[in-house]
Amino acid sequence: MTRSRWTDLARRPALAALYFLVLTPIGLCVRRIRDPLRRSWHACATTYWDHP
Amino acid sequence: MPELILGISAYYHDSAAAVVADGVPLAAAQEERFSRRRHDPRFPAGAVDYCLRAAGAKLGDIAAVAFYEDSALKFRRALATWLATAPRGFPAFHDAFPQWLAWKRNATGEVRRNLRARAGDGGALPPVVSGRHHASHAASAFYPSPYESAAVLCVDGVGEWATTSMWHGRGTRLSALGELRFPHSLGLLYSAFTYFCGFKVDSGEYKLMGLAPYGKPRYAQLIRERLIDIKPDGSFRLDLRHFSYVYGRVMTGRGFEELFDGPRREPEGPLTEREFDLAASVQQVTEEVMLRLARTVCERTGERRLCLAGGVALNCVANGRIVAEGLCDEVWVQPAAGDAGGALGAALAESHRRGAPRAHVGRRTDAMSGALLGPAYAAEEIAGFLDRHGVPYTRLSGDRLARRVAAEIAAGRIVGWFQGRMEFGPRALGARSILADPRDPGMQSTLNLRIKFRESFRPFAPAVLSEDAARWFDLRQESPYMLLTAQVAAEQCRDGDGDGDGDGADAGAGDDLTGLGLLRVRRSTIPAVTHVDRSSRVQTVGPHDNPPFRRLLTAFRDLTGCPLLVNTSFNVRGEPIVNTPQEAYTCFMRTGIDLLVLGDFLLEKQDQPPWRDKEDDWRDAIPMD
Ligand SMILES: [Fe+2]
Repeated sequence: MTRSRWTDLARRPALAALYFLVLTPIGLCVRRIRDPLRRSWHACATTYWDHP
Repeated sequence: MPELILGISAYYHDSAAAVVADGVPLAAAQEERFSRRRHDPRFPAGAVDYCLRAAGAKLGDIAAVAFYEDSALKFRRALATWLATAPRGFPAFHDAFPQWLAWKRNATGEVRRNLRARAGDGGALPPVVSGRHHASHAASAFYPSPYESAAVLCVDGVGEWATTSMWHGRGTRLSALGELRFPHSLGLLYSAFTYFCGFKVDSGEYKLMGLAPYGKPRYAQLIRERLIDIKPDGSFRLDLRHFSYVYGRVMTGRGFEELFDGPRREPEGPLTEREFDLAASVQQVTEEVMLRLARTVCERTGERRLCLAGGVALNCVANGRIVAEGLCDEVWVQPAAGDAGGALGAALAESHRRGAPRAHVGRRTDAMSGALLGPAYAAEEIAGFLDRHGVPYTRLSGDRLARRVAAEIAAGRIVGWFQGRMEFGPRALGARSILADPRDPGMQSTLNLRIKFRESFRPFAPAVLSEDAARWFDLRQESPYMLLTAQVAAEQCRDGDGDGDGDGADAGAGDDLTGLGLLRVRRSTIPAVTHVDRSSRVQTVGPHDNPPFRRLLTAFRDLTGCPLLVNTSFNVRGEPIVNTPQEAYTCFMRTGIDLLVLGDFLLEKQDQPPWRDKEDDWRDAIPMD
């Protein structure tokens, strides 16, 4: 697919707006409740297996 | 008419197609072999066309097309990752989001669009269904295996969410028992070290594995303490503060540099003690996790047979440890264990879901036909190509050809061996192979530098007659797909005096050598296939496997007493394995291969007309792997 130069120029600000004005605030709120990636280690846990 | 299912894996890495008829694999191939672009991730148009040709079918004859993963779920994982890493992850978001939005989250739609283009306007299009990435891996591991029931373990980088999964296979049923999820991934841990050591992710992992025996695992404890928390049952989590792959464009960043003594090695830069030790360390940790996972899945299922798939199952050293430790009675590894094999797995899963039996189990063989599921070229086609280009050849067949080629190899010549159907998966197994004498102490460096144009440290693997394997290797089971490493048998080992003359003058010499200096030590009667730790990645060739290749091995044994040959893939570094006679001839003429065998046709280098490449240096045109 070919894109015009204008599409390219408009793309970065549009993506930045979406990322910083929408995704970032949602992400910060979500992380206050729980980490979507469950990154923490649990020394006391015997397993990390999840049920499929 | 049997029910045909077409399987497709694409849009990430190493796309492929496979076709199965009532649960029996008929054909399978990676797209890279047709497009000549290594690990080609695009829609596998060439592979699909080939599979349909091999099945004698048109798209309209296919009952269903099975795509190997769920792209919508994968998109949700990408979304969760962006939310979890904002605002750090903008560069990765910027690169990936437009593609996800445009087409990637609907990969089956993209498959349908590509198939529609192939079918033409009037052609009927079969339904396209999608499975789950790890379900496809599990299906590729269990369904073609020779076992009625087995434990199944899949370990890779990442699919949708799962990065590790365990299953119980019984008959035509596969039950999921548990999974570990992104970003906690053994495959990505290994890839992070691959990247940090200056190799390419998704293809340099073999190199890291080959490098490991040169080093000492002095970072292993640090990895266990700081990078990965491993539970006794093999489940684990990574400490993502040290990795960049979750939010960035690269695998590792400053965290790795602080832990591992400085910046990443530059690609193609000199290899130092640090890279050897990093490779040894991550390999040791990987083996430790794989052993625990294997023990857990066997205990949970009560099975003594284990099937493996996923990119990490290509780590033949870890597989060899599972066998050597006796965690189970037998291990079967899908030869296309990486994502290409997902095409076959998805097709098999759909076929068995529709009621196809696993007929091969009663015969106690696997259903992979020795992984020889790719295109073959008839004698007339080969002769046509040779005659068209005025290529001189001799035609020999059967035992005469085998005896002649065996004699040439015993005289130190290197042979390009092109026979029958091409292999499915990353290993050459005697259909598209370069063969040489394993007893020659100089052969490893000759092959690396003069034929493959690749790094001198990389080891070569042997193909051995299965009935003789036990006398040459400590191998407890068959290894038809070159996916198990074993130690060279003690009776073949030497102390090694470094001069390669085998006089054993200063037995024990080599103990003080480190790094690539270890390469100079002759460790066994088969030095070209003995790695510095006396291990070897073995392919066993049984009585019913690949008849021309077996004849050659038998002829070599009859002539020399040695029932094995160096068997490496027919390509040069960075290039896909050859598929057609034309590609084999080009590789033969460009490299130091002395003799080319195309079916029954034998070509000698000195008889060939002078070769001129269109490009001044054709190697510049091949991207580094
Ligand atoms: Fe995978």
